[in-house]
Amino acid sequence: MIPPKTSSLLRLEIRRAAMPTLRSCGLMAVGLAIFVAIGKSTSEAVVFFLMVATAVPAAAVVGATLRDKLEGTMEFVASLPVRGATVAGARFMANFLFILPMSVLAGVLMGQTGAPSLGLEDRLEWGLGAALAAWLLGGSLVCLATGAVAKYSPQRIASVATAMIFATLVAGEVLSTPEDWARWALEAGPGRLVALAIGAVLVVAVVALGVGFLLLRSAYDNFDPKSDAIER
Amino acid sequence: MFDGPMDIHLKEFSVRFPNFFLEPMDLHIRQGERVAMIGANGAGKSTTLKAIGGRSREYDGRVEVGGAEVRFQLPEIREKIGFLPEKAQGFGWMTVAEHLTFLSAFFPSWDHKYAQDLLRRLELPSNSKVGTLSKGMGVKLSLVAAEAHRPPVLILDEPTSAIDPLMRGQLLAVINDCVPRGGERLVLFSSHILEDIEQIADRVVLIRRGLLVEDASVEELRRRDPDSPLSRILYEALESHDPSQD
Repeated sequence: MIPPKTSSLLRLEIRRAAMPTLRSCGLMAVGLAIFVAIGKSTSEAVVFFLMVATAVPAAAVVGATLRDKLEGTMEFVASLPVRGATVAGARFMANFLFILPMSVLAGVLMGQTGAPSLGLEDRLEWGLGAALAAWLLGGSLVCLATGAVAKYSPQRIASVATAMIFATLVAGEVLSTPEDWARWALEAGPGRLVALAIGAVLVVAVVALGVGFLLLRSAYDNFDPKSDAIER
Repeated sequence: MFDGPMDIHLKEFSVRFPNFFLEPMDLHIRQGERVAMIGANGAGKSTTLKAIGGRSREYDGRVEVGGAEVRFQLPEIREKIGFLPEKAQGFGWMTVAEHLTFLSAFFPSWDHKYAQDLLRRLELPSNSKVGTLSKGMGVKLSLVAAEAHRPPVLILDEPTSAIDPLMRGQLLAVINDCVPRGGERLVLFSSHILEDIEQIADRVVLIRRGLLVEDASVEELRRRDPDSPLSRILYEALESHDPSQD
């Protein structure tokens, strides 16, 4: 049984993310209907609309945390008799819930297109694996983003993210080229590729989830409304 | 953990931010006392109340509630402290009823019937959105939220500032009824409205940059000038410690 403090926070998180998600999905459905009505419903357009509609929940849960800081509701939650770990746990549960539709879609797409292109027989198994991987990876990355947004200023996050993208590009350029990777993948075969993918997903998910949890917990446990005093 | 009396004890309490500081202060408020904290803007009233209420940890010295250092008893100690902040807090999209239901999960001693009774007495509509409440209505909601679990320590940060006289009267009457004089519970509040002090407080603490420049019972203050109203005596005390006159 979930303790009352956690279940109350979980209901709060679900409600906060549900409204923007439903609104965005509704808008996407209207856009898709218009495309169908004017005869432009290509499969690419359908996939695009579905991807956008299912990616919105990820942005919504991170956005809710950012809004908390801007609107001052972070102080309200931080002033409750509840540990930062409980807040982080409830928010992460909601994050994983809202990332579920995107993961299922990723699984279906991978099962239908990815499996045949790799010469795999079992589309369902491949699709389920892809959905699970997308859920773990997507959920944990959203949790990392949630923790970072709660703990640090948007400017600091933007600077660090820019530096990381730049470093990745430089490292990719220095260490190898896409041709090298393609050659290695062809030589490795599907079995080793899948094993590598599972390993990478697990490592990234665990690290992202752990760091995200520590950041969010710390943001709430150490929240201090000192800005009031400084503004005087 | 909180077996003894729920006293408040500040020992060498001080705050240092880059452009704001409070000198070390010692203060002892006993269980059952009703104390008003007054001082000019920037005197450190809200900062001190936040530290006592477990909302701020960045201070030096000790802040004890019920014999325990507040910082080391967080977040559990907040269950024992009702806190009415300067600005009403909550999610604007929730209704008043939803806001209170949400909060009730965090306080084991929350009394739903009492909360409903307070809402009715303060004429606060339970289906209004928190974000649409006026300043006065927001203060009323904050009072219900702080009081509905009947905490042994009730802290009110400027509860009557910027609200109309009718609402002020209503609010003060409810505070007096909920926490009657001579009871077990401690009330600590800050205010700029000197007339309010007389209605709620038994003791007045005047601070300036964290320095305790006056600490006297209301009776003692009245004896200083029996012909003047208390608000006049307090005003003169404030004026004599006005930092702008240094």
